[in-house]
Amino acid sequence: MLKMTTVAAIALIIAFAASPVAAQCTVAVYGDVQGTESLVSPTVGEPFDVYVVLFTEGLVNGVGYTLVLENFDGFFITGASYGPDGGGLNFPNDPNQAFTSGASVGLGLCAVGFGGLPIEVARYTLLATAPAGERSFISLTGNANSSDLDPTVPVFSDCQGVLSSCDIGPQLIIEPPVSDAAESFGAIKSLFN
Amino acid sequence: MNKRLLGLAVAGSMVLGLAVSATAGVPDVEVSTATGPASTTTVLITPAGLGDDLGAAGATVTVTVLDTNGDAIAGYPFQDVVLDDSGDSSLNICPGGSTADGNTDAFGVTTISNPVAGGGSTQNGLRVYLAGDAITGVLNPALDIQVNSPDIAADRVVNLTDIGAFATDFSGAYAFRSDFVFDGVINLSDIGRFATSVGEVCP
Repeated sequence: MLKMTTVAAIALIIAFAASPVAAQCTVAVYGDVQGTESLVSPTVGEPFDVYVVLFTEGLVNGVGYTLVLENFDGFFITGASYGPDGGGLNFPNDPNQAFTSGASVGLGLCAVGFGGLPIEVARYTLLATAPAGERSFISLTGNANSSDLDPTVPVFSDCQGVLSSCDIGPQLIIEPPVSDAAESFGAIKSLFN
Repeated sequence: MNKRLLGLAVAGSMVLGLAVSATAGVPDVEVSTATGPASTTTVLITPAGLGDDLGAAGATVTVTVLDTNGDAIAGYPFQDVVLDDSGDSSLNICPGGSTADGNTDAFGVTTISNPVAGGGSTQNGLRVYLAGDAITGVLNPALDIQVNSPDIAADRVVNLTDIGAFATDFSGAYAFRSDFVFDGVINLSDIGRFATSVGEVCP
């Protein structure tokens, strides 16, 4: 049994290494670096992070995408870092609109996607400046400046320079930000219910 | 008279012998040879030597070290056989960053096939240097190898200077120096490769 498992594992590794088929990949924005939360509930004045996370089985050293922000008037992106260890670089399409014009991110290392483990591509720190009455959304689309592949979907580069398209995962929903005062009032109110 | 002639002959042969022995075992860069790939080959070098393996890239350089008489020099030290630019100072090789794989064998032959540690870029070919002198002559044109590096500024470190230069190339006209995954276009694959080298220095 052990031998069969070993043989199967070796066969998988060989197939993985030699496969000419483009790697499967999904990338999306999440509320956590594990890529599990698609809903965040921010508080006014308290910075919070959202993550561009990529899932693939293989090697990755670059990702191209564009952030699509909806109903984002009350938010600011106050910072960003790139790559799993923050040592990556982003070459935006327009340096004057570094976060929204289109990102071409070099991770700064050759990251391994394996067994469904996420690869952190980027971390954006957001700040809500005022309460809002509606949800906001962050999703992804492609970046035509990153490659000659389909510009409507993100792409990634394996560590050999081969580019592949990615599927787009779920959009991130941001609940209307609440203020600390409103939260406190709600908490007190709930005590009387 | 005969004695005088004999003396002159002996003296002459001694001088000749001394001249020959003086050049025997001394590499002659006009006679020695360096051969590389048959067609243009592009390799990436980095300051830490984490770029392309010359052998794997099909750019192995074979060097034959000969003296003036055309005799092979065996055991010539690998440290004195160095690959570098063609003399235009386009590359900045780290100390010991492009030496031969080993000392020359009985036929005076050695190879250079490992990754090169250094920075800069060139499309003017490379040359092999023996103790600092380039192997030249009609039989030794520049090797048909073109090189680029994330160390665009060729100062043996990949830092903010290079990031700025690469950003310019990424958004501007095509520049070979930034086409790290050489395919005639600067795109995400080059960004990925570049970002991996940021912070590299010579060993």
